[in-house]
Amino acid sequence: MSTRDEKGRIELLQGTLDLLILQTLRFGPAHGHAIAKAIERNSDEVLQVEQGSLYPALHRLIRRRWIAVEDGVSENNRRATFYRLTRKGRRQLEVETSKWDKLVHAIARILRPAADQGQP
Amino acid sequence: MRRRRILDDLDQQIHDHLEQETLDNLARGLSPEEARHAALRKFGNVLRVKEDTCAVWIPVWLE
Repeated sequence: MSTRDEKGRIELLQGTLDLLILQTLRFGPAHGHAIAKAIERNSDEVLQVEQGSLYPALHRLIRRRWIAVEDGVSENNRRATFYRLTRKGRRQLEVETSKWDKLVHAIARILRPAADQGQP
Repeated sequence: MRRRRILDDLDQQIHDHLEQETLDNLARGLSPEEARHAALRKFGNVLRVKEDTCAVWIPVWLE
């Protein structure tokens, strides 16, 4: 994932991009450009992916067999390579989402401790 | 063999990706030159992307 830190952009770790790709594919197969746009759109443009970084990420996921490749036709009626979630990938998405939720919750507790805690 | 097949059309995928992004930029009112430049800027270094993608398939024991 890009480590550029331009104004308004948020750095994302490699594993986070993998998770976002898996989630995007949860709703059906998509080609690379569509995945990039979906991540941007669904994050209300907060997450501006360096689009090229998608391809090593996609291949990492293929190698792990969490996604598979298939031929399809794009919205322009042209042949395109599509990616789809595998059964293993769908299970992994649930695992990773759960881990993410726990991580976010734990960090939030540190950053915004409850008023009655008063502990270091 | 599977790796070679999967990497074979990476060039085409990147080409199609840049083309689609350029079309989106044209639809937003950019000139053809601006649309293409914006697409390339947003994509990042194409050669590095290809190298990074191929590197994913290097067997672990070579790393």
